[in-house]
Amino acid sequence: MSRHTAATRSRHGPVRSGGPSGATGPSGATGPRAPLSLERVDDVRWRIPREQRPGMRVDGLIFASDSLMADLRGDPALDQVANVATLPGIVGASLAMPDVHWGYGFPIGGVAAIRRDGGVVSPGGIGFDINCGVRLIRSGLTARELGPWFERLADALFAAVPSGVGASIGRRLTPGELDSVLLEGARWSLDRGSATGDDIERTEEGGCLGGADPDRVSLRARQRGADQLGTLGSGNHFLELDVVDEVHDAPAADVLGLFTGQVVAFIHCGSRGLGHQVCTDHVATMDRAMARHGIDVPDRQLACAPLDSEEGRAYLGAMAAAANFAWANRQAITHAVRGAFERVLGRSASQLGLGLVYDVSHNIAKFERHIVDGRPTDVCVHRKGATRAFPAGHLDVPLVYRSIGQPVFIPGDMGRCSFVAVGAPGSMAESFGSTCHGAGRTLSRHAAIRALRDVDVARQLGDAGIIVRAERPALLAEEASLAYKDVSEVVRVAEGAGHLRRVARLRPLVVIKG
Amino acid sequence: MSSAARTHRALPHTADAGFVATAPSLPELFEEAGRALAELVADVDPTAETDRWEDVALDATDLTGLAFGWLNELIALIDIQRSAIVTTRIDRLEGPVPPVEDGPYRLRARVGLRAADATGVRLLHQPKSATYHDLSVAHTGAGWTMRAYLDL
Repeated sequence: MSRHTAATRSRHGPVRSGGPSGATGPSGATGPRAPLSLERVDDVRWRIPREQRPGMRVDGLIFASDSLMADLRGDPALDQVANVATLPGIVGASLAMPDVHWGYGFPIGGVAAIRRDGGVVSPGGIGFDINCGVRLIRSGLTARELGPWFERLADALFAAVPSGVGASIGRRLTPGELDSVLLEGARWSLDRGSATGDDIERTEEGGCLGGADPDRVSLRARQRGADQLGTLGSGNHFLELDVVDEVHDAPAADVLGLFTGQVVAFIHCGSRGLGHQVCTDHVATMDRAMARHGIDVPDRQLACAPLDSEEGRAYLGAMAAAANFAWANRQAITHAVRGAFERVLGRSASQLGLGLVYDVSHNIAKFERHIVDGRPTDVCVHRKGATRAFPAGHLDVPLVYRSIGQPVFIPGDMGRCSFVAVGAPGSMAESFGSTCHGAGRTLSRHAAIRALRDVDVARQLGDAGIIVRAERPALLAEEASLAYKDVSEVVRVAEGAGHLRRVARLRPLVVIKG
Repeated sequence: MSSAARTHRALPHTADAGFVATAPSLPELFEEAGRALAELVADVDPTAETDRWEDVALDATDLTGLAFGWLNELIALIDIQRSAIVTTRIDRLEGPVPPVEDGPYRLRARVGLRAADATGVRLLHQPKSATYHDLSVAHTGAGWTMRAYLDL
C-alpha cells in the first residue's frame, strides 16, 4: 500500500503560470481566470496550493525539473491539474507526472485517487483511448546478427500489422466474438493459440480487468471496433524493433531477460475506435447526469458521476470491457509479430526467444488500496498518460518480477530513445503507485510539418540507421523528434522523485507507424 | 444566404486539432463545422461524388451538447463506414434561440460519404472524439460561431 498524508508546506519561491483557463460555462464558453502561482518544493516538485482556486479540495503536485517546467508555462495543463483537484472524493493531491501536457479534462500525465466511498469516476481521467499502453517483447537475437534481415523484417511487420488511418483486419468480429473479447481480454487469445501462459502472466491484470460489462458498450462503439482487433492505429502509436543499447541496472535487466545489444519489439496502441466511443458515450451520459447528483465541475470534459451510481457503474463496466479489447488487441499484434519473425527467419517464435517481458497500461482506472492520512483506504486511481509503477515486493507484481518491481516502459520519440524501468517505493509514498508514460509533445503537428517542410524525414532517419515504414509519409514529420520533449529528462525527474528505477535504454532500429 | 459568409479556420494545438467555424445561421454553422471536420480527416477531390448517404438524428438539452453530439456522430460514421465526408446537410435544427441558453434542441441531417479507398480520397487523420474542451456555440452580432477541439 502507498502512504499519503497531508504534507507540510514548503515555500521556496513562487512560479506563475499563464495560459487559457480551460473553464467552460453553460454553453461551453471559456472565461479567463487568474494565473496560478506555483510553489517550488524541491528540485523535482512544485505545488499548487488548494487555496489558489475556489473548489480545490487538495493541492496540485507537479513533478518537473526547471527545464520541464519552462515548457509548461502557458500550457493549460497546470490549470487542468487545479481543476482535477475539485473532483468529489479526491484524496492526497492532484498529481502531474514529469511528462504532463495539455489534455481534455485531466491533463495527459495526470493522476488522481478518488475515495471509493462517496467519490466519483471521471472518464476524462482515463482518456479516450482506454487502456492505451505499451508492451515489450524480448528476443534471443542481437542487432548484429539481425543486421542483414532488418529490411525484410520491416516489410514483414508492416504487412502483418494493419496500421494507419482506417486500419482494419478485413473482417468484422461477430457480436458473440466481440462479447468474448470484451469479457476475456488477452485470455481470448489463449484458446485460439495466439497467446501463451507466460504472455498472460506478464500482462497487467493478467490481460483481463474484472467487472467488464459488454452490455454497457454501445452499438456505435461495437461498430467502430469490430474490424480493428489486431490493428495499430495512427498518430503516435507504433510498432518498433529496438536495440538495448545501455543497461543501467544489470541484475534487474537479467531478471527481465534483457541484455546489451539485444533486439526487442515494442508495441504502443490501445482500444481503437471501440474505446474512443466508450469514453465519448459515457462523458455525454455523465454530463447530463451531474446536476441530478449535485455535482458541478469547472470543465465540462471533467464530467463525472458517483462511483456507486448507475452512471458510474455503467462507465466502469464499459471501461473494463474496452480495456480488455485493448489487451486482446496488443496480444493479436504480438501474435502477428511472432509470425512475421518466423516467416522471415525460418525458425519458431520459441526458438527465436520471442517472449513477453510485460504489458502495462497508461490510460486506465483501477481500484487499489493505498494509505491515506495514515489509514488503508480503497481508492479509484485514475491514470491518464501515467503508468502504474509498483515497487519490489508488491503482491500485484508478477511473481517472476516481484524481487525487482513492476516493469515500466517509457517510450520516447522515433528518432531518439525509450526506457525500461521498474517501479520504486517512492511511487507508493506520494503518487499512488504511478509514474510517467512518455515524452509529450512540444510542437503542434502543423508546426512540425512546417519546420520540416524541406526535410526528407525518412531519409534522415535512415541516415541514423533507422528503417521506417509508414502508411502516411507526412506522419513522419508530425512525429519527428523535434516535436517531442526529451524523454531522458522526463525519466531523470521520475527517478529523482523516487517513482521508478531505470533498468535499460532502448534505441529504435525499425519503426512502423500508421 | 451567401456561402462566402461561412468560414472555418484551424486552431493551434500541440498534439491534436481544433477549428473555429462561423456562419450566418445555426443550421449553416453545423454544416460548416462538418466541413471543417471533413477537411481535417481527409483530402477529398472537389469533383468526388458521394457514394453513400447516412441519416443523423440528435437531441440535446443545450447547444454545446448538440455540437458535441453532431461532431462525434460524424467521427463515428467516418470510422464505421471507412469513409470521408463529402457533404453534410442539416434538414432541421429546432430549439430556442438566444438569449435562452438551454434547449431542448433537435437536429436532423444527412451526411454524404465516399469510401476511403475510392478515387479522389486521401485520408489524413482519424479523430478519436470531439471533446468538451473549450467547446462553444455562440451567437455574435454577425452570426454564429462554433469552436471545437478534436482528440487525434
